[in-house]
Amino acid sequence: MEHKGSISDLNKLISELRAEGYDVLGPVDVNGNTRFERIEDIRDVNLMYIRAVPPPVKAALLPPRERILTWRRGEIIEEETEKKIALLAIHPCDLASRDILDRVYLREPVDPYYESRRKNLFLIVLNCTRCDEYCFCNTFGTGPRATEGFDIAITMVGEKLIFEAGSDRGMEMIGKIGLDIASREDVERAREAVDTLARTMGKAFNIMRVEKDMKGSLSSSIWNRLGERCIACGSCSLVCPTCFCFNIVDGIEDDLETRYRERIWTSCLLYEFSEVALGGHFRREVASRIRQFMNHKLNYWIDQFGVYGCVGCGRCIENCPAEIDIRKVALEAGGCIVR
Amino acid sequence: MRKNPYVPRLAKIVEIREENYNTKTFTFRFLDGDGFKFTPGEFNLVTICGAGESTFTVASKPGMKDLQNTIRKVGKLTETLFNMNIGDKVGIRGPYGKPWPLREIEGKDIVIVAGGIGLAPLRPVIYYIAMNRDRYGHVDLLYGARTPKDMIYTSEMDEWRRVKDFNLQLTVDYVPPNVEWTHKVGVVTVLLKEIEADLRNTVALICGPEIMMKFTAYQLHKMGISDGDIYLSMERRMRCGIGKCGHCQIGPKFVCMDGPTFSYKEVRLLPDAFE
Repeated sequence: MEHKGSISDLNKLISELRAEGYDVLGPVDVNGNTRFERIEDIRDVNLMYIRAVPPPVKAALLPPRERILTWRRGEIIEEETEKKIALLAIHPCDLASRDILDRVYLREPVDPYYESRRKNLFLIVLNCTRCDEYCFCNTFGTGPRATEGFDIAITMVGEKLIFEAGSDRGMEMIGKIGLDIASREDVERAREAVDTLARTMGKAFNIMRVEKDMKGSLSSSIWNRLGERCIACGSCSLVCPTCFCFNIVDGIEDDLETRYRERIWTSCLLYEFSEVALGGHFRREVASRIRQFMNHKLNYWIDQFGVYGCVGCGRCIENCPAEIDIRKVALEAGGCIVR
Repeated sequence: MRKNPYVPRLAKIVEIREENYNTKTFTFRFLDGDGFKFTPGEFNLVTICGAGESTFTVASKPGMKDLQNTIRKVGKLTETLFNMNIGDKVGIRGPYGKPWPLREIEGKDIVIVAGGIGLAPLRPVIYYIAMNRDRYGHVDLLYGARTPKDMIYTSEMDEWRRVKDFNLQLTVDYVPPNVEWTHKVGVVTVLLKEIEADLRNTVALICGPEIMMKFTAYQLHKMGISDGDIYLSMERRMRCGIGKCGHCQIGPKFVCMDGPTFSYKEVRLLPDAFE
């Protein structure tokens, strides 16, 4: 059963979440970029944003740089991660990325840092009623509407907000802010706004065949051509909401005694990633690295975890300095000639 | 929080044996008093707090309580380790990974081919077979190194030669002047013609530099051993060892979870499997 409210009800939601100890983060424009920052008032939030970088759900579950161990006076101290975080107005593609990350981090042996952050994460989805030329969530069905896995989902129709609870704690929170039940007409209008967007987006490629197409093109000349364009900067991985790889780096604190271990996001596009001892390297050529990235998303993920490793958020396309477009790669793997 | 797989168990170095000019076998004893249960082919990680963590295959004799790793000085962590002494402490994680298929290959003849430090993950296999000699057929151990002084475990080879139906063959790529050498000269594949095993009922276990594994597997395939009966131990740098950090992926395989031992059939056609 949906409820209706207005923008000011989001302020009540923020207050209630903060009262329960959540750090509430939402999309804020900072220096021309939209990123998830701590919010106290809905007026600070840009609800019309298209995409935020870094991807908010991944950054909340697997921070870009995270200390995992500390050694102090011969003892190993595990870093605790009991912080409660609420993300307000994530888009459905980012919600979908959590279920993909879960498959990596919650499989045995379970990653305890990820697990405790996930347990303490409250997710408020903002269903999409607008997109840009990079969005292709509709290809994977990961958007523009979130169907499950959220605490609360919101759809904006003009000044009205339609609220849907997706969990018990989401339902409880809607009760706390005291919303009226939405009329059937309002619910219908909200549904139609999202459906219209889905129709506008269409499908970038066919997910029923892209895995097979990718498998069939592993020795294709596509990769050499892409290898010549790609500058191996790793931006695609760093903005990707499903890229899960990290590096582990040790360091020492200013007291010159306390040592620590951190994990830091990395990318298979970087030269260091596939190095082995004594200068050995298994992906020396950029062509083999871009082949790894693209095939991991659209091919190997299916073998490894049963789902595609892409949610169609468009970040890797928007942020690629070489204008490499995963949608075109998918089409070319299927034999299409793409300009 | 649940049991944290990133937290190493503390151990101290109780023995350091020099294998050659750049390789040592370290014996680690756990401070918690418990042993290190493993199956040959699995790997572990060694942490030196503040200096990093690296992956090594377990080189221990099966059944021993302590852990042994045979380590070559190749980088920052191994250099730090080489400067450590008896009694110094390290952290250990593991064992992880998929072991050699020792149960599945009972009753078969076995050809072991190793290059350089690649003999380390096969040392437990040699002792396992020696301890369970009646469960396996004939064994050929073909071992090659760059020069005589690059060989490891030379002090144990007389004991291996005494194992029943055990054919030990050695080769080096090059013999420096004034070095005595009574065995073969040439890359390890020159030893393949010394195989005494019945190739119709043989499983091969290979570990060494990747180019050596590639050619050895190819030759054994041509000699008639099926790709599913040829096993390799693949090397990739790993950060976590537990299928999270992503570094060790070869196509859809995680070397840390699906390997490090693979059949040649599994990896032969994977992209970037061999350099």
